[in-house]
Amino acid sequence: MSLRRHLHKWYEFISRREIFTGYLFASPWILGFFAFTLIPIILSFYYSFCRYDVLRPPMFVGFQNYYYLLFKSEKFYTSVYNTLYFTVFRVPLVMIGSLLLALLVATPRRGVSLARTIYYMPSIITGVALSVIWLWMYNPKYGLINRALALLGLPLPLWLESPTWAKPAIILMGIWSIGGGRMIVMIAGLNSIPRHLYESARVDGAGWWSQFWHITIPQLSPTLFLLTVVEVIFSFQVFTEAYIMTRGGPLDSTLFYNLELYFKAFLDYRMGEASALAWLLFVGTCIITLLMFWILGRRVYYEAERR
Amino acid sequence: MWEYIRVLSGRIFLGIGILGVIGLFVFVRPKEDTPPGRIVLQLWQVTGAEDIEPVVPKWFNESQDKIYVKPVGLPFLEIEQKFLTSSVGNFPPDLFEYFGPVAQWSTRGALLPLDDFIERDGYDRSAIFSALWKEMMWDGRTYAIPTGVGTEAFYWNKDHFRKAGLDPDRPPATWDELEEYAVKLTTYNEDGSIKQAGYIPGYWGPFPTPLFLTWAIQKGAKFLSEDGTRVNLTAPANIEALEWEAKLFKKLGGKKLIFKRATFGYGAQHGFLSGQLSMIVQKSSFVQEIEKFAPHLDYGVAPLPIPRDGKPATMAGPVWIGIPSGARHPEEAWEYIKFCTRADIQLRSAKYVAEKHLATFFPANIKAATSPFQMSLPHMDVFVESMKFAHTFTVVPLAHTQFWRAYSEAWDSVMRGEKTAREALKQAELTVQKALDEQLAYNKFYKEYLRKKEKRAKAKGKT
Amino acid sequence: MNKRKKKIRPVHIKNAIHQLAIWTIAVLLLIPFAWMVSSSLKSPDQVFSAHMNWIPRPIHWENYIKAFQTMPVLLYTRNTILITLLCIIGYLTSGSLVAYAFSQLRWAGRNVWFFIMLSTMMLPPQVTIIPLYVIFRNLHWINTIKPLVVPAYLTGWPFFIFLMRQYFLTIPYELTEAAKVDGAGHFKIYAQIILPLAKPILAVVAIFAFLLHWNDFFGPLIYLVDDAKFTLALGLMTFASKHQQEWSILMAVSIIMLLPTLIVFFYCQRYFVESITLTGTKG
Repeated sequence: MSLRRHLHKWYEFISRREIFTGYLFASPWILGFFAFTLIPIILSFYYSFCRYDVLRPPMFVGFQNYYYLLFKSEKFYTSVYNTLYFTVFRVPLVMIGSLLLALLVATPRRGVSLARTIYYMPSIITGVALSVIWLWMYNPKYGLINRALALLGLPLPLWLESPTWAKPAIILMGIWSIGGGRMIVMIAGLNSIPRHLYESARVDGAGWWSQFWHITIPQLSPTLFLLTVVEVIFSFQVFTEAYIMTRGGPLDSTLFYNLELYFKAFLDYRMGEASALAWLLFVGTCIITLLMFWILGRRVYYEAERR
Repeated sequence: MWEYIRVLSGRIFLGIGILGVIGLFVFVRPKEDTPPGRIVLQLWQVTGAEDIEPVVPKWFNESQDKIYVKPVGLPFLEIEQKFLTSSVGNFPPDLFEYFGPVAQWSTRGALLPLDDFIERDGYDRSAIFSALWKEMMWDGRTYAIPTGVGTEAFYWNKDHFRKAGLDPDRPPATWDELEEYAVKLTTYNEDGSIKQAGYIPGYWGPFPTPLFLTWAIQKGAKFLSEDGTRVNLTAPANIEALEWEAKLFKKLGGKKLIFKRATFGYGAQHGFLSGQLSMIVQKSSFVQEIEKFAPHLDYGVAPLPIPRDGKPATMAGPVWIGIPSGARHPEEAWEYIKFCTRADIQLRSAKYVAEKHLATFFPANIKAATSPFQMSLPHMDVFVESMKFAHTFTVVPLAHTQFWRAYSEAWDSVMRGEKTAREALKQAELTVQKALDEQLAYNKFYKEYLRKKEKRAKAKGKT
Repeated sequence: MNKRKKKIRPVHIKNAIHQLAIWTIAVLLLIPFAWMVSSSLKSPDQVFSAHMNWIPRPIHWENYIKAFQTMPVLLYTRNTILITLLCIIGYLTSGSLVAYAFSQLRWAGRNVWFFIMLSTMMLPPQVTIIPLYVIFRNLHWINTIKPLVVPAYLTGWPFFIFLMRQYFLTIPYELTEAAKVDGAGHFKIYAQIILPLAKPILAVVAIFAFLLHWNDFFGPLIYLVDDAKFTLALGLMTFASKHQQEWSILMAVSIIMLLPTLIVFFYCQRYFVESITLTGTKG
């Protein structure tokens, strides 16, 4: 008891000095924030109240952009719907998929390191190459997927050419491409779980499901939580795939939020409306992230916060 | 032992890698190719569809010793964005050669008006196809000079015509004939899917290039009122043209047609080049693509079919060159523009490109375009002839992109049978009108801003 | 001989199923690659043949030669390596410092700053492009690699800090506490306790950063003017936009670009395996 009090006293003493140290350690980010993030943010906030095509000076129009987007623009709601659809289906699928992959190859055994490499390989393909190869995969006639479906005698969807199948197609591609990358983070998390927990559980006669549910999941919860938050944020910002593969079509079925934003900004040169879109997305993401922290974050188990 | 070899080989491999990287840094240096003592001009252009060395800058650099033009090729999808950011940052290139709508830049003051140069040097506007100038102008001023042009024509597969019992040398001259031929030329597989499509409205190539304006223009459609303030997409000409296309689309297979279209690919797998499509509207340089990917294709080229009550029309897309505002050497840049639009230089590059069997260069200069050499190229007569009734793409300069987007979406939804032509066009009209109204107000604001700025500058000058 | 006749135990079945699952998934994930490689060796006719042929006859190696001929691959590789390396170092040094501040230190405003950092992740990058360009222009950084590299040192990619911070949080508090009792300063704790323990996450961040900058063509496109300074990704994008009609060459180009990433990953992968034993023993 007295040792503990002693420690606590030490801690009090040190923590007072940690204000300075904290800012010192965090200074690279704080500096960068002021230099490269804050100013653009403030500017874009101002632009969101302007008509602004970047080349000419901004013209203040008050809440017109917001009003138009929220009450007059069908496209805005189409893009919100598409993005939510995308997120709701993609995030759980990516999480479950990458956790499965990680569980399969987390423990070192024969061939595991090769398998891990293979699982990760799709993540290396990004951007244009990724989209090009999947355009090719989804080709209704020559594409690998439809050739395989034809062999099985299943109906052949038009994939990217069909308003119903375009979104699932992009989600499927996303799982292929990102699953392995997320798996690596999960493996890092899985391997930081103290072994003795499993050992003592086994001594107590717990089955693998019980071990998984009562040890792996809680111990992995910081990682799972982190990945969920990140995945949601990234899903909200889905852009490149749709930009290259479908350009938002067919019939706006893949018009995701950031695609609409990009079109406004760099096709129509309506930077004001684009900034307003960005701010709406920003506020929306903040709210959803806060909700996630509030609902899920409390269940997360942190080693360091036992203090 | 095995472990030892594995680690050792890993180390050796890593060592080689590190040495390689060091070697890269020691031995690989950028070539310094700009000669000293010359004014260096940056010329941004889209990298060509083929590996054509940009020869015109080379010739220019050889022709004199004061100015050096350095071409930088940029990817097509991103060049606009790069130009935009550099213009905002006031760090633009000295010359910008592009084929997108000039209005994107001219209406926003990102290009320098060239009228003073034109006046001073007596630059002959009539040397260039007159149809192209409309695209270069905004508010009475000239912002770019056309260097080349691509126009569209009607291509048909003569073998398919023969098989279907049609005269291979007589392409459809009217819409009705196009319809009739298209039905005759369409064949089906046993499962009911389309084997060979006679015609697919709107199909151009792997990239959706909406070229839907021609039919409406043939019908006499105007997209904008004379004073430039009212968008008009719901005039009878527009609606009738779109309805006709939709009817044709449905008649030729509708959903089946979409499936067929989706199976077409790039290069030799282009629908027309692979012999799965009998008739198509395509650009003038399609001739070279046929030569490259389907050299044995027996095809013909003719002007587009016209409606019974219509007049001939075609769309022409100019390649243009301009000087960004804020460029540091406008005088020298203008020298280059004069050089590259000269008849002899245009002819020389046309010959160069033809010799290399690359994509065609269709000169904007009339003398070069109608030279005996150029006219000896296959089907060139059709394209040159069509320049007489050519229209450029930018019909609503102040809201071009919104127009384009709204119009192609309307087109797509009508073809898919989601909306009637009238509904879709009405909706597009509202969207574009709103954009146009905003741009008009913004434009007014901008002019006011410029006036104030000038006034302030004057006041400063006085004191 | 006797070994073979040994009774099959449930453990073996489980292992077999496990192995089967591992390799079935691996094959499924690899199929697009195989197709990519196969397509890269085909002529346009072969690419669109009605029959699925995995091994083209004849093999068209010239697609690769063509890819190499049309641009200064070595120069672009050099430029790309320079940028990528500098950025990785930036993320690992200053990024981990910041992550330490956000996980192991207690200071007024920590949570507020952390929240701000998280929110900057949510800002769509498209809107800050223009203002950022103007800032870099005013710093006279256009046409240098500074706009691409300096933000890494000022932790322009908060996701990495977030990753590291989450990992640092799982490091048992007793370890740092004990060091503090021993009178170690924070920098010492950071450098001698946290960093060695955090190797797996540092490797993860290194890989992510490598991929991010190796494949980034958007930044170089906007900030670099001279083509002598272009990067591989930008060069290949330009190349791709020239040859967008030719799938096979496009695939060849993508594979050229993938190879270094694959090699780097193979190395880091080995490192992962080693680090697992390290972290496995703790706690």
